[in-house]
Amino acid sequence: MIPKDSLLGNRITIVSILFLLALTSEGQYNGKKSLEGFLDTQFWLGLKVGVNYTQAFPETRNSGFSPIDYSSDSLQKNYDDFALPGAHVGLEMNFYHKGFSISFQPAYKRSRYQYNSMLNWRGANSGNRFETRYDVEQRLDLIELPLMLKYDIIRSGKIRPFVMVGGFHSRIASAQKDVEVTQIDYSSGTPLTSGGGNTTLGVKDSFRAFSGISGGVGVNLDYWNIRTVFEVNYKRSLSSATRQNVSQNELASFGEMSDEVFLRDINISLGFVFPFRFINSSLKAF
Amino acid sequence: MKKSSATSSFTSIYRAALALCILVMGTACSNDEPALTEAFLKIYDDSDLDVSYRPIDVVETVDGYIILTGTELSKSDFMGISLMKIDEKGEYVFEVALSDYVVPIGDLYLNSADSNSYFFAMNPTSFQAVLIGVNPALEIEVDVPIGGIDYPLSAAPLSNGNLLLQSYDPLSQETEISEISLDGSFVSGNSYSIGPGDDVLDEITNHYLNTSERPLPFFCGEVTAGSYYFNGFYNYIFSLVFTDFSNAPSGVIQGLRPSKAGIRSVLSQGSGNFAVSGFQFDENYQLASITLPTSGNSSSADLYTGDMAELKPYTPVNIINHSAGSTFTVFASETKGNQILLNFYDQNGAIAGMHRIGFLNPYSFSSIKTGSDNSLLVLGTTFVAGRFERIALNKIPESEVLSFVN
Repeated sequence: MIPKDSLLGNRITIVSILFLLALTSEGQYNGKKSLEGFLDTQFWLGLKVGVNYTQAFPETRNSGFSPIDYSSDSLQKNYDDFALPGAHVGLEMNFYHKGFSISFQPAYKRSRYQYNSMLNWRGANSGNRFETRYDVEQRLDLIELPLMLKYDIIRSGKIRPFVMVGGFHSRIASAQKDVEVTQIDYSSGTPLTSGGGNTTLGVKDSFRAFSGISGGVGVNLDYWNIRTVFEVNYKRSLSSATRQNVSQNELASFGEMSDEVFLRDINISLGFVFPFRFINSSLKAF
Repeated sequence: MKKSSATSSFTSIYRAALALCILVMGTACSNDEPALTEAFLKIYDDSDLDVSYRPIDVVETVDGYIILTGTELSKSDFMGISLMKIDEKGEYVFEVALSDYVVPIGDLYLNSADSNSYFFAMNPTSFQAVLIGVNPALEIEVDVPIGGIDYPLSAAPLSNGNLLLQSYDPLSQETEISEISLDGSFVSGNSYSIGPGDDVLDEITNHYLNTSERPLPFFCGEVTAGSYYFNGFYNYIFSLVFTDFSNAPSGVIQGLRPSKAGIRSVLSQGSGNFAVSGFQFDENYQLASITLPTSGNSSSADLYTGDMAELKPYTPVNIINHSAGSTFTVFASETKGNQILLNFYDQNGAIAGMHRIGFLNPYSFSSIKTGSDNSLLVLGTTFVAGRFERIALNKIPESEVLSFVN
């Protein structure tokens, strides 16, 4: 049985290739244009790579534990914001016209974030105390489909800064969770730390596709016969990345349950794009 | 010419933008995600590391769930009684401890007519059985001692709305089986000799006092109206006894004396068929569909088909029927690896699937019920941090159950 996401990925790839072929043929059909026209209206295609840092914003708190004699607030997870680097690689397709660009940037992206939580137990003797700490790293592999509108602040020269806004839709390709349990026993008077086990589990079913908005700044560097694009953008999901009320036996059975999480991330990217329209023997790109 | 070029460029950009929008929207709107379910697995934690629970049974009420649980008491060797109110999402709401009584006896029976949940317990000083009924808010509506009946051992609801109660009479050394109405009055019943000697008394006493170590599988139930069974001591041997309340049992399936082998759980499937879980010393076996000899004397050893090596010796076992696509017989038990194991058998008695609960934390099994939305409710305990025994309630929605079976 072929996973649905694989079919989706194939569908996107096929549509993208057909789309590019169509545009290529149109560019050859138009023939010679003036240099001004060439620069005023252009299609750029290239690759983009980068790193990203993710913040998981918990909208609704969940726990596999339901406390009897203490507040559920103490079960809340503590998130480390923008702490773990992720990476992304993808295409950059820009349609430029007189300062404005429509940019489609499909990418395969790995996002990472981490959190921890703590449980405490006490006996009648105040020194009789025990703690368990859960350290969790969440990894998400995403197929990200951003559609951006760019505006070049400077439209001439080799250094062209720009701003951009837009939206994105992300689908879950895979998701893994690393859980490390640490136990601390205070009963002897001296804290005794021991490992309570660690495990890595696939948790794709706990996540779902999400969409959001994005904005950023960047600069186009037109040196040699290539355009180098350096950009920084911020993405903010407007829908939850997690499914509610889904409990995975392996995790739930020791109390681990995802919050309802909205993802926000900072992406730093370097792209290399080529002009794709009007290329023939009589007219160089630069 | 210039105007024509600009128009062409705009057209190209327009086409490209439109194509991209269609591409993004097409992928964004494709909905291949399953619907949300109301599954939960909740662990009811107490910060007191000396607290320990021994859950008995769970019922679903109009506004959530009630868990009947035993608790450790500092002033008594008997198990104390507590009732927990759980909301529809599985969250703990509050708890009521019934300090006047000990030894909670399941099943916890929800009577839909008055919305009360009924169970039996024992007076810690007179050892008399008592019927307790609580409403969904855990307020006690019925609190009635059962005259002449001591040492309650097991109970089950009957098709006529009354309750069947198995108990022990230490004076006459008899196992008693009684039909009790929901107002606590005795309707009918009889008692049968457990045989001479003190060995059986010792076993019953240990059953009350050492609930976590090899508890004896006392249970009772109804084959058809007027035809009952109980699993308990009869004629010195732990046996499955069939009775219509006559002075002599109509049939006996004997174990090995006094309780080395026998039946652990049965479910009447009609037409003389039963689903049976049995034990032979430390070994366990399950028969999803078999015709039991309900008359005359026979031996449980004849039912033994071989060890199910995964099952823990002396595991508690519950059997229920559950409809998920088609009807399955579900055997819930514990594994040697300290997981809860659900075995699903089809109507031909063939294994159709299984499911395990528990991963890093050990789990023990207490009870399984079918929820109003055809989910499975599995009650047990887990040892948080490997040492603190806490009640765990797992609601498995029907959609997930379907994934367990072929």
